[in-house]
Amino acid sequence: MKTATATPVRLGDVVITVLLLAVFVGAYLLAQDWPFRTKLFPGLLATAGIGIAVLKLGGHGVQAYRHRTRHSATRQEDAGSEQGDDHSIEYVFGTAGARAWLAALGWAAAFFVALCVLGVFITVPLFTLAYLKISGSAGWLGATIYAVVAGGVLWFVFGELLAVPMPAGIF
Amino acid sequence: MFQTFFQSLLDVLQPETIAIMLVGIAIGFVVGVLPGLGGSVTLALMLPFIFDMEPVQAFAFLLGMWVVTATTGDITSVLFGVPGEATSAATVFDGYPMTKRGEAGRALGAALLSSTQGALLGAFFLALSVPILRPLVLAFGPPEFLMLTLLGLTFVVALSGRNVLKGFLMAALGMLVALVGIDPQEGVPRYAFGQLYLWDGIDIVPLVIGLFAGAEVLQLMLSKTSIATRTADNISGIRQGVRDTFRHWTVVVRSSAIGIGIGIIPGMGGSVSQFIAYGHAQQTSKHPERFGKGAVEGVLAAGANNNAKDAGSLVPTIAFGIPGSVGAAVLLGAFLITGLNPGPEMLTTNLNITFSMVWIMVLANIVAVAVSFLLIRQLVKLTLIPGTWLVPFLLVLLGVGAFTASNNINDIFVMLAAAALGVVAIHWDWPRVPFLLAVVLGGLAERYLFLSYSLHGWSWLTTPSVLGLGALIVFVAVWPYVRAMRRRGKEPVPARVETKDNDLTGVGK
Amino acid sequence: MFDRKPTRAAFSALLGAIALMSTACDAVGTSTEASAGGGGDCSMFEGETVTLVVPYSPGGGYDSYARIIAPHLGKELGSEVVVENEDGAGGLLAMNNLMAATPDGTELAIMNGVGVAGGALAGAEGIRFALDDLSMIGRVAEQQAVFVAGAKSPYRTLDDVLKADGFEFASTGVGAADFVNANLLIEILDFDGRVVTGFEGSDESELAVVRGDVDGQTGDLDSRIEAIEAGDEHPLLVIDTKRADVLPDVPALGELDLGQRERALAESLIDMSAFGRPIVGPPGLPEDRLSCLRQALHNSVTNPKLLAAAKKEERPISWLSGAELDELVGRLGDASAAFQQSLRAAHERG
Repeated sequence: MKTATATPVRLGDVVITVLLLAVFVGAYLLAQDWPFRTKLFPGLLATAGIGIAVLKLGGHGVQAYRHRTRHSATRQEDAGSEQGDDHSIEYVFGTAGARAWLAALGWAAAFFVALCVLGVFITVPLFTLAYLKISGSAGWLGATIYAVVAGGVLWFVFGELLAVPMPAGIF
Repeated sequence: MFQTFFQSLLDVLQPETIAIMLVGIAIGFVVGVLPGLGGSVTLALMLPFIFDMEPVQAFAFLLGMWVVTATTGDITSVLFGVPGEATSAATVFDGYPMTKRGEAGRALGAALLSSTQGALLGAFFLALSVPILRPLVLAFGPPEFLMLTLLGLTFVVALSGRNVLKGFLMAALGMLVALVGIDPQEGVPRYAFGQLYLWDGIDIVPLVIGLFAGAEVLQLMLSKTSIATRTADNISGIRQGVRDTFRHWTVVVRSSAIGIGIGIIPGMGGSVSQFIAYGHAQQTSKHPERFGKGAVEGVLAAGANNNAKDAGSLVPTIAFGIPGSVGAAVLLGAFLITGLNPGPEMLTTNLNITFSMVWIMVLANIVAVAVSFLLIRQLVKLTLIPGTWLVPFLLVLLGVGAFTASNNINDIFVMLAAAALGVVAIHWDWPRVPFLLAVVLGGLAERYLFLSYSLHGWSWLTTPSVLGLGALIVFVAVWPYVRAMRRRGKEPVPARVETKDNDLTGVGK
Repeated sequence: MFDRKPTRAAFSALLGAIALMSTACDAVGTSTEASAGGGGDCSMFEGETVTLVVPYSPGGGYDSYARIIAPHLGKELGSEVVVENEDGAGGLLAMNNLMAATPDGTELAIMNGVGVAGGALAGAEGIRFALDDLSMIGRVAEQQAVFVAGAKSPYRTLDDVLKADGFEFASTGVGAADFVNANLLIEILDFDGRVVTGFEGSDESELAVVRGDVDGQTGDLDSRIEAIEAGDEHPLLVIDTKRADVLPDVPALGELDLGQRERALAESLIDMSAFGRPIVGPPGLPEDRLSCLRQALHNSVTNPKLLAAAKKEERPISWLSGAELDELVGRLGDASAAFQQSLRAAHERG
């Protein structure tokens, strides 16, 4: 508890660092074909990024070593960084089950795919109705009113009154 | 000059002018709140209405509308985590966490009142600087801009919190994102992968929306709870928010100053200064670890800053007809329509109009904030709506808000990618703000470095203003450590690692 | 969703409280009454929504022109004309997207003639179409370019510049109009000059000129005129065949005594500037729709109300018909190899 270095290495951190390292290496390589003034800044930046990423990975190595030798790490430190409140985003992300994730991502994907294909004015009422009925188990009346009002207000204010550009779909 | 100053107040207070201004404020209010509507686009839409107006009336209408969008944009940022305007992005960082804790009233009170204070300081500055408006704009060039950019980048350290290396890595990634697009030197597209969409670089708005709001909406979909599970007593919350602006008055003043200073610089763009102000607030705070988790100082910095910067961006517009931001560029059209010539005339024969702009900024903000305060109690209730009912509404805000960046479907893809990054960053505790700061400043740093070199060789390094700013950078970078050492000398302070996030107990009382 | 009432209240209050709005409303009203203007039959546009794309963010010349023209064009077509800003790739993103639009005339764009023409001739990366693919509807404004020096620079006349020892131009980037013009001027007039790129936009480059960080720049006369009148910039040369009305004392490029090769270059440069700000449609617009649009646009820009509005915004209308633009495109396509060579060199030099 006294030192942060005694906490176990989180695999995710290592994976992210490795991914970032790959991004910086890629950025460095891509920059090689450019004229001098174009590549100077990206080159320096990518080099710095690679350096920090390696440093970070090295730190993880030391951390893993210390953790193993001391056996004194407690899970408390981890719990400390996440508030005990079940409302916090870290907690929800950490504890949600695979099915919940799949459902949430599925709905989000459905919304944005529909947005790109059907355009905002069709997607919004359709999605609202479907989401409220299926995921939210709302009543037909409430869901329908919400869907119609949301679609109608959006169409009227953004489409007709102000003619603001909106995702229009591929049609 | 004083006579003109007060005479111009009377010009603004004509019943017809006030009526026009109220209409402008009403429109600006709605536009600011809605993420799908940008202030500058609306200004452009409204230009035809001023054809037959007197100059003061035209500015009462347009300027009134514009300054209000910066204020009310914060409302959406605080309540839903989606910035209502590009300039309200930084308000999300701490405003939304406060809302989730049930402190929406306090956050809104703080954001709104600090907005007014920022606007007042900005207007005050504009009025005071009239005699030196033109020399002021000409005093700084690319070398000074570069130093300001570097100053902003030093805040990455503070913004990274406990994970300095993680913060640096996120900042490096952000800079890489900033480099996407046509390079300003040779005209070569960098990291664009053949996509023309990427040629102008990646806009900050879809990034902020994805990184913050996108992740939050996903959380709502997972947990199906409301945004806040409880709200503190609203009235006392608002009152506390108001008190906060005075308790942390130095944050408000410094953030306003940053807004004015950066607003004056045409190439920096309207959304840069809020990130620098936010970074500075965390850097100078006694409790930097609270930032991002609902620190009221973060809300104050963003709120005060985005209103003060409007006054700053008017400085070069008035003095030279060179707009300091996109909004100011549209306002420049209003100058022409009403037959005004930006430049010396605005400071001599048309000085009354310049001063009337000062008054309009002040009055419009006061009216908008007064109205907002009346609405806060109702607005806060929105955060108690069950999550499933909010999700469709919030998804629309995400999509439409991102889309405003360039009215291109790719904006939505950028937002989604940023949302994925946001989820990963939250889950594995990687700081997101250094990334955004670097996105905003990375390209500028490169551009100003090359420009300084092309214009002056290396001689700019030894000019007094650059040396002065350099000293400031060193001071700002070292100060937290000096302060920590001094405090450690006085009293035993627990080690930094042990400073827990849950010593946020004082809030909400 | 609390957005509906305030907006409507705002609008009704706007309309109610202020009597003098009537004319302005007329200008922006989306009246669907059928076209009163003669000429081409435009029944196919009736009730349609036509999008007029501005390839830049709001504010600035292209945006202003589009917004001045849109309501009038709408009246002529009997449809609603909506202005959309689609910023990206220095204006090229919108142009490339226009190429892929359905050629029915419901998607049009106001184009940066000089930039796109220059880039197309130079074979710049990112222009994925040929200039003569576009359906030219009409030019609404010429873009008379002017060469200015900052008041803090030592240059007052063109002769000073010709004797210069390293005249520095500010430019917003490789391939921008200010870049092409500056490089070709250096070549045509043969003086010691260089172009500093990397300014974010014309606002920043103009500030650099006024500050004296650079010596001068080229730019649109109508956006430069304020600074010239304020004494912040000195006009040196108008890039046109004849002098500008507002600057009778400033020489024009066409009247200079030049060698044969330089004259040919200068003529092509002037041709390119003549492209100005045209309104264009996607390739393959059917003949009937094209002629309707051409006629409707012509009717719009000759409408006294539009002209008054344009005058008020200091955005003068200077009409060139679609047919004349087609001719210009042909002429530029045949432009001397030397011209295309110089353009390409400028693009590559950076």
